[in-house]
Amino acid sequence: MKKVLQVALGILAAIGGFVDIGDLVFNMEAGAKFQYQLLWVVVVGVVGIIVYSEMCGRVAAVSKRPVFDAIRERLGFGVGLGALVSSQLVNLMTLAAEVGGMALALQLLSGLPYRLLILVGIVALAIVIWVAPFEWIERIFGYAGLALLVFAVGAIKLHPNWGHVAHGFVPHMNTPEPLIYAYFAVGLLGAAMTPYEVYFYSSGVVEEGWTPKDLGLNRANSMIGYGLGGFLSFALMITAGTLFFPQGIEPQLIGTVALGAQLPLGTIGLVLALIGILFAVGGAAIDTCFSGAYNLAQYFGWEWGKHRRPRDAPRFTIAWAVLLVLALLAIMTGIDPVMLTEYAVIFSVVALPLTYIPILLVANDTAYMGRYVNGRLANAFGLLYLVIILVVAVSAIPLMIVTHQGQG
Amino acid sequence: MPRGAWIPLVLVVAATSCGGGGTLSKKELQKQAEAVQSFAAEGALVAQGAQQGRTTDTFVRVHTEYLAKAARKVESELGSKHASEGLDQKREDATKLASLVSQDLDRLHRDPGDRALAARLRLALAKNAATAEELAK
Amino acid sequence: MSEEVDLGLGLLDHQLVDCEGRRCGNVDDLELERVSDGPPRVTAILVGPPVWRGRGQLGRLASALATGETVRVPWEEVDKIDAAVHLKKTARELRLGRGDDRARRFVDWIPGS
Repeated sequence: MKKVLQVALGILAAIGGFVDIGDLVFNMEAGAKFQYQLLWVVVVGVVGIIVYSEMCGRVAAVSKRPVFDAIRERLGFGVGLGALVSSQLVNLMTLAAEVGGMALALQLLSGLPYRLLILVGIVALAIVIWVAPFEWIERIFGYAGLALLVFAVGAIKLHPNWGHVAHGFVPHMNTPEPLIYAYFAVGLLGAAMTPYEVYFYSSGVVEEGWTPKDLGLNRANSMIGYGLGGFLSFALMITAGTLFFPQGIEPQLIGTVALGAQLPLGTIGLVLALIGILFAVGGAAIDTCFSGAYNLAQYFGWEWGKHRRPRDAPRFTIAWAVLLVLALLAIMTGIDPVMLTEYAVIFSVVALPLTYIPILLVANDTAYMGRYVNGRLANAFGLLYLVIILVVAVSAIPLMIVTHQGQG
Repeated sequence: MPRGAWIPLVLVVAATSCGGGGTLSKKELQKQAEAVQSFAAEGALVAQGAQQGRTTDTFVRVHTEYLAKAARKVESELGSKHASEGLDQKREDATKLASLVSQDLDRLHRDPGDRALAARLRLALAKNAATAEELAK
Repeated sequence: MSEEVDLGLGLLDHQLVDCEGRRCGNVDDLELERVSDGPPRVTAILVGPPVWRGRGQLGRLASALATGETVRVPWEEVDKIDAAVHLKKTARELRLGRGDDRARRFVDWIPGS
């Protein structure tokens, strides 16, 4: 019974943790531009992250290797270092965008100056990470992030044309701007398949000493957590499609996202939305920050672990602290967090093959996986997504340039 | 043409095709008009919330400031360029519209709690949004 | 003997863990010794930034940017091999994991570490 409760709590935390600033931005923009036409892409993205996450979790539980350990082994030190550097750059961009997003949410709640709130946000994150045990952190940020469910309630209350919404789940394209459609499809896939969550998850699996006995839990976590999280993405897109699309409103501000809950649900909707954004994005910031530290530590063989005392894993501790400081400097330059988010998501999609391919290879290697190696179904999906990821990775930057980041 | 003449020609072409004091294409004008429509429509929605008391003053104050800033940016971009013959009137109209929208948003920003003002601004912004939509066609 | 080499080459880039369970580096390279008859055998594990020079272009770059010396861990010190390479002695005795030891003083002074 206790185990079931634990699983349920873990999954709840995952839902709140699924939505980060990339999902908020791209789902709203896609809904405002193409109404419900891109809902099917969200499904593709959610299935993709489930496939990726399940594989990484299985590799970690069976071979006791988290992602970057496997990457160094498969790609070799030299190429693996390239994967490490590119993933760190993307991590840093994502972290800076998330910190900026937190500051904007705080500003919309409090009215205090943006730059001050950036500082407040970073210091608060650092203190929370230092002082609070990680189970508490995951619970607090995960549950508070659930406030985002207000978008689901709001979306229903807006009475969209459910027939049109359902049609959005069928892959189709009905637009005079196919390139912009493609750009948003790429962005949505990138926002759904954020690699830092996977690094974070696989490191947790290794640290908590999961074994092959936990593989069922691994599958449940991935499917239910990300699946229900995808449901939040639908709510965001449907809200934007119903409220913003008819009026030609292009969401480019975090406040616009919050407006999507204020209009159907009034003040309580607005406040819950802002709190949800603050904690979902804040939780994502912690995960991103730790992912960066995990990747470095695992690649170079340092001691690491989110449950470890800082003095027992000093280089790991310094790594996440330095990442926070770098993110602070980056976002203090005044760069727009929403624009930075778009760049971060696109670059993360370009770098995705470098971290996906080694895991797919290791998951197929009987020497590491024994009888838990990829079966036919896992490989069918694994290979399907390899193709999808490669196509998306190659087309992302050209699409971004040609469509001027979706502006046309 | 003598060889040397290419250089100043290239420079002239380069100078006139750069932004900032350059020419506005039909597509760019359309995009800017759509942006003005977006800010005005969103401003109207924010004003609606303020009018009905279904929002917080802080949210209205902070968000309208961002919207106004964005509208002013469009205004200055449109104002600093020229458009071809037939389009220049449209460009001027769009510039004035952007200015009106940013002023309305500023007013809402300064007095988020005044419900009667919010009601008036909502109508004004909605009207401006419709005008912008026409300009964007 | 050849089993040792296969094992050794399969060990490249594995995590090193000391007898107390402490992570103390990765297998950055291997020292091989030519034997008159038969395949070469692994005599030691090599750890440290200077060793990266032999691991490709980016390895050379990383080697130039990082500080630290090469540590040679004789093959006899290897206890068992599973997902990681487990060593018989502590990291301190083998002069491994000193990066973490050096870094500790930056973290130590903060309360709650």
